[in-house]
Amino acid sequence: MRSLAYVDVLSPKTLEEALEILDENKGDIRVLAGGTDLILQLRKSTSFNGKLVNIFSLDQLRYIRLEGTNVKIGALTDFHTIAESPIIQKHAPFLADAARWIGSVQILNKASIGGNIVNASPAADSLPALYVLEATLTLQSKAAKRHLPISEFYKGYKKLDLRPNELLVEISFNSVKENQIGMFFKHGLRQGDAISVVNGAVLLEVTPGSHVVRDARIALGAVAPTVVRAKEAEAHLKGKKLDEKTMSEVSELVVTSISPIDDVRGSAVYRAEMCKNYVYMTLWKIAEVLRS
Amino acid sequence: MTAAARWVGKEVVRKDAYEKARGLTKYASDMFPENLLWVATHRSKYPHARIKRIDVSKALKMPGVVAVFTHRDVPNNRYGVFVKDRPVLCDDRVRYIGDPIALVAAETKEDAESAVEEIEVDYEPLPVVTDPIEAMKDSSYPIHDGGNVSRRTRITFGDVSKGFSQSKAVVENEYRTSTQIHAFLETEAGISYIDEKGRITVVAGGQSPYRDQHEIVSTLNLPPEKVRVIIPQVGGAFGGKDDISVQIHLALVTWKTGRPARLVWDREESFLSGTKRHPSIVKMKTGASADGRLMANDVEIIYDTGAYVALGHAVLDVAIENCNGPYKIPNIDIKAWLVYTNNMVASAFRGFGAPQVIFAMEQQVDQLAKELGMDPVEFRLLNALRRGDVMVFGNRLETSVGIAKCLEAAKNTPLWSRQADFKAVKTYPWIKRGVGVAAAVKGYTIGALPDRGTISVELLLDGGIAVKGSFTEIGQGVVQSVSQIAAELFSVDIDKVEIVFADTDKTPDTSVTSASRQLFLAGNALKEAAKNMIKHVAQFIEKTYNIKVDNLRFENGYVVGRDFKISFSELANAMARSGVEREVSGTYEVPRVQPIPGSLEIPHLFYMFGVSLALVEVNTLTGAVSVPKLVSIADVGKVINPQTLTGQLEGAAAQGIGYALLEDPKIENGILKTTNLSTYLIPSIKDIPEIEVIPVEDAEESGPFGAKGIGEIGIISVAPAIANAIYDAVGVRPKSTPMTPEKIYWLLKNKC
Ligand SMILES: Cc1cc2nc3c(=O)[nH]c(=O)nc-3n(C[C@H](O)[C@H](O)[C@H](O)COP(=O)(O)OP(=O)(O)OC[C@H]3O[C@@H](n4cnc5c(N)ncnc54)[C@H](O)[C@@H]3O)c2cc1C
Repeated sequence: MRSLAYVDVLSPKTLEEALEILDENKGDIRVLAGGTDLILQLRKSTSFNGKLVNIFSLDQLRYIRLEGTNVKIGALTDFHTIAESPIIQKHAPFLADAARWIGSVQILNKASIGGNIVNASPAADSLPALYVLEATLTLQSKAAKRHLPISEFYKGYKKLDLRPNELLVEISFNSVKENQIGMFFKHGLRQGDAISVVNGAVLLEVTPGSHVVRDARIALGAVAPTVVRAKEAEAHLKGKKLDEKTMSEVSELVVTSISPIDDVRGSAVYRAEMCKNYVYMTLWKIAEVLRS
Repeated sequence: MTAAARWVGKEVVRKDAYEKARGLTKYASDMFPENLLWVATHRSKYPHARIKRIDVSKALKMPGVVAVFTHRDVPNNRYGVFVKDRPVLCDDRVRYIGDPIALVAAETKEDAESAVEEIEVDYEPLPVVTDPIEAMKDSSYPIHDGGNVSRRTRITFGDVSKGFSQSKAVVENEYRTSTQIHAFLETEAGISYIDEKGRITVVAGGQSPYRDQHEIVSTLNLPPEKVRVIIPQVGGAFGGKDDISVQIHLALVTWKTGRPARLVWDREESFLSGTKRHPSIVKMKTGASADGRLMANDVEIIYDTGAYVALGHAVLDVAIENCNGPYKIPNIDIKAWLVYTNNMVASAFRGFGAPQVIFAMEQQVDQLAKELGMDPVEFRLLNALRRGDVMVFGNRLETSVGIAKCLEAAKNTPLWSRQADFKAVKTYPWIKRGVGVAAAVKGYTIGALPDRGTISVELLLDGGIAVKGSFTEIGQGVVQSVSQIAAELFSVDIDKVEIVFADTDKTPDTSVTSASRQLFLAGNALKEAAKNMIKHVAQFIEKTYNIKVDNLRFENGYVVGRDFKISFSELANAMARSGVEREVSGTYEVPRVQPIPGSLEIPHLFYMFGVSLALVEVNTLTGAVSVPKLVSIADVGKVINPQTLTGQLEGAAAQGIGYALLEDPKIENGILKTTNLSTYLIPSIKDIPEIEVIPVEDAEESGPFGAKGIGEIGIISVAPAIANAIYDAVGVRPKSTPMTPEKIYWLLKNKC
């Protein structure tokens, strides 16, 4: 364990100042938000010798807004706020649910959604929900601002389309529609404060009345280098009703989209089984909601 | 007990509760003596290797470094309570991945940590022995001279083959349990300094100041009067601070440098180098007759002690003593081995060898009951030990035996009597519910080994009393219980009782705070001290006032005789004026019993008993098991403080749930992969259900106010109760801990 006592920390007062600092120190500087991932990593790292830019006090990056049908979340917003937000609970309830299951109270109060996204753990709990919402990320540098669909942000295991002078400033997505229903799932090895062995989100659009699936989005975490969409399973759902046969077929199909590995939390084969079974259980629960 | 007890049995708020809740309490890890040296430890990089060279020259030149110590600085470099097999700092060999090789003392924490990296050790790797079955073979590489079986024994009573021939049902299984890490809030920690009388003083988390002092003076070759050990409030121990951790290292630094020092293990060091619960392999063949009587138990017990014995020999005895459960069995044959491996060191952990064997036995019992078509609680009741019975080892139980009462209580608990209602609750089709029961027994005090404790009491000038003993406050609440007993015995307000604990300079030896013995020992010694105080005071009064004194007693802060009444403060001041000693001690010694052949400490004179009931929910699509409800029933003799009792039983149940379901140290070729709390999972609050605690009071006449031990019994039957509940829910039996989702999942998958 390395002491971080001698690391230089710069604490800008405004976003502009932060972007300026990033621009000046390109590459030699790391962004510190809640620090719940970064500090642990730096304590273990032998290579880091740079500075930190501490953005934690930039309140202008803490907000949740509804603009028309568009939901916008500032990158520094913590998961406690997201879980409790009436806007999120109404317009993306499964994201609120995903947020609620992150770590413990202490972590919820510090961990930011931006940190969760940029840290890029394949097991990060906000990502499957953001994938099925097809969220857009706003990346800003001193000179420019650009927008990127979340799935294009990840290029491989912890490989990001993020330039050294850029900050993630905002996450936005369209609110779920009347005829859409979504759910988040997480398999941890204990009931509280657990890192996901697998996680995922399912978002279905159904024909009112008949409940025939019009559109399906299934995102799976911790079973590939990045979060993946289960394209074959999604395609198979379209035009069908959620009967027992369809639910089992769809859950079997998810394995074509994943490439899990063995680690201390679980074997690859177990992860694949959990992916299938959780998709099944989630579809079952959605069907139950549709029935009532 | 007097009919109108004022303090004993009352829910008096713990004196330390308020200061602990406010964060005011100073634990060893909160202490920073002035001008201190920070100490860091260089540890083995191999689970087994010969040390060819240790070079500290680079480390010595690092900034801030004051000294570096190796085995060359330790006069007697081996210690251990049963076998002196453990080096203070490794010399010829390292035997597990956390073995300490050198210490750096430096001006700052960072300096010490950086310099530790600069110590160079040349190793010659040796074969790594990690499987205890392999280790037992003659062909395995010896980790210590004399081979890898540190202790083997066999204990038989009756004739098991005859017992099996009289049995209608016989079940035979092999069970395995894994290592458990104590994971206390406060890791192993301490400071040291030279006190005002020139003594090397070590202030560190521990469970026995006199034993720690003995280990320091014997390894560093110092006169006992030159070393003082203080154990302040400890942030959790659970047996994990029963052995030496930082104490000798701290004493060494202060001895050699004359400066104060501080050594606090980080979580990873604690996980690697702290002692653990023994992993076990237990084979059992158990038979019962057609009418449901246990007839025979044929048992093989293998405990993996890791690199060193620590308290392993005694742990093995406890395993042997308790592997038959709280039952009468006429024929037993127990073979047991304690085996060295290059795994981490195992020693004491709440239950001290009992949870592993009870995990096996209580599942055997459930299977027998099922085969015979009997109700599991009735089956246990039929076989339960009762007072006056001859136990399996030929010893007659002359003291309190509350197991039948515990089982009766279990039978009347709604979770058992109306279990169908609990199981009928519907959630999702893939969730199955089950209810399980398990019973437990464990001796308290240290059995047939000599066991005594002394307490002293001083009359204070302000009318209060000071009670002094070397018991340690490891969070369990012994200070509170001793205060309540003292307030009762001396008939003073509890605020007038001051407790001085665990300081070899100030407190007499009450011996170890382990084996659920301390309240019993300290309480009884205190009773003796109270009697001696009466005599002492009587003499003083007779002499000073020249009156005949009889029937002296303590009453509401006064000493009362036939025709006089004198307040404590008046008395104390009068004694002080006359130069009369105001401190009196009392000693209690557990009556000696002869150990049976092949054992060290079997049998005990005193046993505690318990029963756990668990309701589980098994998710058949994930293998995840949750425990929505748990009932912990314990025979506690008499309750001294209901709140601390509940605390002990709830805590033990939570730790038992962790042991049963979660705690999964992954060790590959001697190397621990789960070195932190993110991969070694202990229960979070969401994993702990509503726990219902039912104390069963079967008074023990030899105990203080009827009390028995309570620290360990609550954990022992939790894992088998959960295992039995899982079987009840889904018809699979894991037979090994921890019963993780992945393990249960594959069992279910392979079943259908
Ligand atoms: C005990 C514990 C439990 C946890 N449990 C969970 C869990 O259940 N689920 C889960 O998903 N995660 C969990 N985590 C991980 C962590 O809390 C989350 O990933 C969290 O969201 C990270 O956010 P942060 O603000 O702390 O990020 P930081 O640690 O400050 O940063 C993380 C990374 O993102 C970069 N970064 C942060 N913000 C920005 C930005 N705006 N622009 C550009 N780069 C940025 C940093 O440079 C760093 O590389 C847990 C962590 C701990 C310690």
